[in-house]
Amino acid sequence: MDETLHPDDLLLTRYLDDELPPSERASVKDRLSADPDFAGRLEGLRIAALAVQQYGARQEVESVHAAMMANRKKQAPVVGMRVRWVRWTAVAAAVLLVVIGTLWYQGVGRVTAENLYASSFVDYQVNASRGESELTPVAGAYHRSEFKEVIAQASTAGSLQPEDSLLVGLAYLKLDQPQRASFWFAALLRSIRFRPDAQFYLALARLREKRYDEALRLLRQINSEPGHLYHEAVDGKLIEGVEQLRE
Amino acid sequence: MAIRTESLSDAELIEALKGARTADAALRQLYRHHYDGLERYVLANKGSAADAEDIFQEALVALVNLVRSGRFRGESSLRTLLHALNRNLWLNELKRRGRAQAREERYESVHEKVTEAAHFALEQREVSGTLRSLLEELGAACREILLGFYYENQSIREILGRLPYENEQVVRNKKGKCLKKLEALVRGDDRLFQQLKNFLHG
Repeated sequence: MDETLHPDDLLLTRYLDDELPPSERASVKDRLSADPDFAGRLEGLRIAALAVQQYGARQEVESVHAAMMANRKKQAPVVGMRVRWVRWTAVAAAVLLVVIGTLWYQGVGRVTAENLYASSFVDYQVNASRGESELTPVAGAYHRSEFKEVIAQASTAGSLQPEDSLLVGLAYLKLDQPQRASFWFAALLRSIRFRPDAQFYLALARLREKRYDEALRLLRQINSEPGHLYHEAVDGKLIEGVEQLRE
Repeated sequence: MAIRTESLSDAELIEALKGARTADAALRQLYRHHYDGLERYVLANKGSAADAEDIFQEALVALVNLVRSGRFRGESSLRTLLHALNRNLWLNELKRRGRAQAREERYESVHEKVTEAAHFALEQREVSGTLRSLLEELGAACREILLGFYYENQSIREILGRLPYENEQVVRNKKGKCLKKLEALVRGDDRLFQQLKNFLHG
């Protein structure tokens, strides 16, 4: 490194660092206005100082990032288990509903799309275990059962996460608009994480639309996969009921 | 019994982010409150978990620089700014990889007006590798003095207390030479120089 600083650089560094007495500072300001080369030297020093600040900010964020990611990876299995617990209790509730629904329509004797739908529907549970403030606006509205608000929030969101799309479809089902619901569920069939939910709810939406062939195809698919999240909710009685409606 | 929340408000977060010594808690809160949602956005748009980490970190670096330069004073919520930075950085990355779908492009043209903040974040990302290399080339001694003075706002006396120099004047002289050396390095890279100049002049 060159051992001597140009006198102008020394002066400008002191100006930059606010180390000049007022009279000298005023004199430098005057010269900056009149001398473009001098002003260019100051700009260069300012840019170098800015480089230091931006580098420092990056180092600091990277340090916090590493700590937060390490912490997150430690917690991940617990969070995953919590989500699975919520989903499995939802499925257990579905099994109970199916049992009750089956007993009910056996007692009534007449199969309709509406009573099959009502007896088979599983209410999706939004995971609000970390507090509602942690939910997206769409999920928050769904959690509060404000289904029109779900749709309003979705329409103004920049982009929707897959779960939000599922909730929009469910909101349309709740609002008795199965055609619109089908649109949202069909789009989620390619989602790895929400495909099982999309298949199940699309089947129910098709049932409501009286598109029995499509409903049957999906229900048989779910029923044929023992590991499917909704396998327990789709039993022979439901499939038989839809087959009857088709005839 | 009421539970006292430890979350900082946006105004408190902005104040905390301004100082190198106070930013840690603010940064951690931003991670806790926003990382999961923004990770899901990247994952839902052809990204991996590693992509999501990288993009969020970059968005946060941009946010910190915007706050500290006075470019962001709370005109919108920090959430809005962070989400916009994250989204723009990811869409730009998709374009760079040649994988932007028509949907994202339509979204960007119809719904998104790329703000100055987003432009800064994109430029900053482009030159981040160069910036790191140049500061490393500067050497540890210069880095210590310059980071101490210009990033941590330490006085010459505080820096002298940490480093083996004879007196404050020696530290001051060394600081000036280090800054000049860094200026020469930065001028040697047009892209970095221009990015910093653009940011300086807004």
